[in-house]
Amino acid sequence: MLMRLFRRLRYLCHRDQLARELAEEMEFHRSMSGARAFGNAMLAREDARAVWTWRWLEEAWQDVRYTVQSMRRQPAFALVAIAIVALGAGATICVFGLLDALVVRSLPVDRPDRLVYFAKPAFSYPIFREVKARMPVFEGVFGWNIDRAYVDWTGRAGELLPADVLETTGEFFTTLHVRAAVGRTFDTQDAAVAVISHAAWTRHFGSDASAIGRVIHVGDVPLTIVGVAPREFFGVTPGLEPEVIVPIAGRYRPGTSVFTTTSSSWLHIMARLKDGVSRPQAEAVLQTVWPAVLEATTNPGAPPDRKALYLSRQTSLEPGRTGFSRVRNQFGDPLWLLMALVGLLLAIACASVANLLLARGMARRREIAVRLAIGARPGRVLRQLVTESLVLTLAGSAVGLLLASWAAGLLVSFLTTGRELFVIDTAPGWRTIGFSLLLAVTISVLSALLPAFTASRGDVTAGLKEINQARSALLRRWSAGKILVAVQIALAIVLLCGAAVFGRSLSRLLAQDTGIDTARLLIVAANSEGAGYKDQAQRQFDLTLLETLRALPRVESAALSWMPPISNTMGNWTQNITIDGVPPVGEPTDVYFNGVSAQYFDTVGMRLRSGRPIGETDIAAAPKVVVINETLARRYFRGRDPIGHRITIGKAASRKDLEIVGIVQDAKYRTLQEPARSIAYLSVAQVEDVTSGRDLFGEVRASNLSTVAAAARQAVRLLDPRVPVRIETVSDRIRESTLIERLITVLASALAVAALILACAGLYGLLAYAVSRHRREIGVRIALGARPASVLWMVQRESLVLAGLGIAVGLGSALALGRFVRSMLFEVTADDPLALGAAAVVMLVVASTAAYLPARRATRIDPLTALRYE
Amino acid sequence: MGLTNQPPDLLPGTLDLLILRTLVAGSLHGYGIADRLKVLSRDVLQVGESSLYPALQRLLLNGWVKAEWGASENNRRARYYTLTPSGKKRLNAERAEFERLVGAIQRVLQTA
Repeated sequence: MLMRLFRRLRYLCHRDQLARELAEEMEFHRSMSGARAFGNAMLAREDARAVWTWRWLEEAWQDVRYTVQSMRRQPAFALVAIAIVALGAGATICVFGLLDALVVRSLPVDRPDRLVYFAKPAFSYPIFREVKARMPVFEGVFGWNIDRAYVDWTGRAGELLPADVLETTGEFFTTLHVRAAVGRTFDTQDAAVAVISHAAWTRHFGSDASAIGRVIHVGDVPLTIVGVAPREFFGVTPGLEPEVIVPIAGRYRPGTSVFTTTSSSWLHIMARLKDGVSRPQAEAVLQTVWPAVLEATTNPGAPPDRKALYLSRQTSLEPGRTGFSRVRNQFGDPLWLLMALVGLLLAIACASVANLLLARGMARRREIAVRLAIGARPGRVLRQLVTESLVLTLAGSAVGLLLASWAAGLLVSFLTTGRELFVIDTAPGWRTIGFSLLLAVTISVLSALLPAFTASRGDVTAGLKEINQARSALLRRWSAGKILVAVQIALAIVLLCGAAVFGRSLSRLLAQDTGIDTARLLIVAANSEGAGYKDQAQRQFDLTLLETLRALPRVESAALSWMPPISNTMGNWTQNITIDGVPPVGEPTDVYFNGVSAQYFDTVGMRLRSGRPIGETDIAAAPKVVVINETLARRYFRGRDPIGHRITIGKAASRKDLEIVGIVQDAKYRTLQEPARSIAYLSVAQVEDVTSGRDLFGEVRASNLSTVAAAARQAVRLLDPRVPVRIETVSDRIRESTLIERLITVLASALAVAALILACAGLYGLLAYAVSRHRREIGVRIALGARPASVLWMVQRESLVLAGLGIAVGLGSALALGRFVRSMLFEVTADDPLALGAAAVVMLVVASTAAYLPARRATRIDPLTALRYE
Repeated sequence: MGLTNQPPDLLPGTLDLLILRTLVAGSLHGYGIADRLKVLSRDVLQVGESSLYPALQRLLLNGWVKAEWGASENNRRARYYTLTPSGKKRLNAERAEFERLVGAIQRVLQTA
């Protein structure tokens, strides 16, 4: 066997010489046998040679060479086909790459499939401690949290830069089996240390090994850098790339309430299963010890109903292979939707390439018939056609891959907003490249099969005669090309409908009344906590800041609040209320709260409906007051006048019997998408217990936002240069809040335009080809007196019939698919008649435009030339 | 389209066996092999190029024959095939197998 292989390889090296020898030998044979040629001399020689080679390989190589030759002869065809594939494949690869990075790709650690995480996102530190003690099926377990903090990379005097900080228990690196790229990692013995990410090491220390041992300040805690994480390691959260990894023992002082409180759930728990333990086994162990974990961490002083609620908490183990991702939860579904939309575009691109090949196959009927006549096997001809299409799609996919990595960067920068850092490795991984290859093969096979089948099935004699009978209809009633174009139009309609529906949804979202004067509002977020202010000093800083802001030129008014308008991911405060001591009847919806200063409503542009706003007199010592919004008034008072009634919030004694002093108009609390919410505004001075330890947001109403923003920044710097400040407009917050909607709308529109171009090109190609084939017939008609209008109509009619058919099928499919996107739409349904109608009209206009050029060419056919041409 | 590689009357693999047999007496060129087969079979087996040369290439590939260029009887360059030791072994094995097969067929034909 080995000798055979060896002889075969030697043959391949000397193939030309050996082929010549074989030819000479057979020539000799023929001359000896009296020139009686047996059968097909050429084929016999090929058969003899084929013994030596892997025949399919040799033929495949021949096919590739032949394809390249024919592409050189018709570069326009090749370029168009490659461009079409690049467009379709590029879009698909781009979205696949993002999906891969966010949803599919494993964590870059040792055997990530052995990792699990605890569902129901977060737990208290005591729960982590109990789990660690009671779960022997884990090789290791750690708790972690990502916090945004201000980091001074140089020591005490430098600039404070915002950074994501991964705070973890000491078991983090040992459980994940991650070693430091430089220096060491930390374990349960370490406290005031930090491991920095590879990117941070490059960014802040120029990859200098002397970074090890340097002290950085995270918040106000000095930590010594002991190591640098591996380059590919981003932690356990795809989409986020924390720059600093610190042990919670170093970030929080021992004895701080974070280590003892059971009411704050802030740690995510991940674990690595011991070898030989399966996830269901570990799950079973967890379920048996979980009640004991809860029992051991219950607050003994809690009231019985609280305790029962606490003990009823559930958890389960989820596979941790791909990590834990807030970003994934946020973007996962829309990304799958994009993948589906892109799939449609890809199908259109396939149809386009198929159509091109089909048209070329028609033109090459003669050539194929000749090849069949001189003895080529039909399978061989088929393979040649598939090879051609494969070469085209591989070239197209390669271009598509380049396009994709460019577009992915663009998409990520689009997804990144100021606050939510969104870091994804968009460089195509082997999986993406593999996907592209698979895609190319799929496209080529799909797009080559139909044309190849029609071509190789072709009847030899008919092909040789190159039949060109005039038919009464311009196009055959039922040709493959026609079906493909109709399918393209249908798919393009689905994409157009998608773009239109999402566009309508977005415009509804943006056009609604937010209750906030978005055009004239700045939000100033100063982080005095980052500069070390605490308690009373921090509150005093906020009040000084407010005075400073109010004194700035061009500022109409300014206010402070616990939450800024459109708080997004920043948080919210919601609780149940009782009115005059009685729980409200009817809808038990939660009430949202905010603490605001005097002038808040004027500043953000909310109008007072009755009563009075929160004022300067509502200080901590004054009687407690609350201003409610219209929705709360409507839901809980049903026509009664709420003013003068008293509400109690939750069970805390400090918020008992607040008097309702005013009603304001509704305004959005967290997002633009939220339904009308019951909101109560408290005086920020009367909720010190809620706001303590946090900085308040400053709202500034002004006419010239950019000038005032610069002035506000300067003012904060004058107050204390060490306090980091971020200033943004409400429009920024709205942009952030509508990120997914904008992303989907922009992409769906881009895809729809691409689909429209492809479908339009397909229709144009089909009609142009038909007109050129029917020159003679059209010439005869014109000679017999057909008016240009009727010739024009003859071509246009074909286009309209096809477009109509495609539109009908497309609209049907769009309606059927609508239910999958219902949850992503705002105040619009997927069968929105305006959106669907617009899509249909756009398609009809485009279709008749595409048909216009071939139609006009048809009317200009000179009958004499056309008849002579035949 | 199929052009068959074997003369229709031969059992598969038999051509290789016959070629090996013709080479037992000494080396021959391709035409010589075809001619010898024709003579020995009294004109029954007429092997064409399209089956002879693929078969010869197959034998070369398996190392059962080797080929050398030499001068033919009419002084032209011709490639002479010679049986190798492994070819001889192969011939004996194939021959025994063939006789077993033919014997079996004959027994079936006589008794049926």
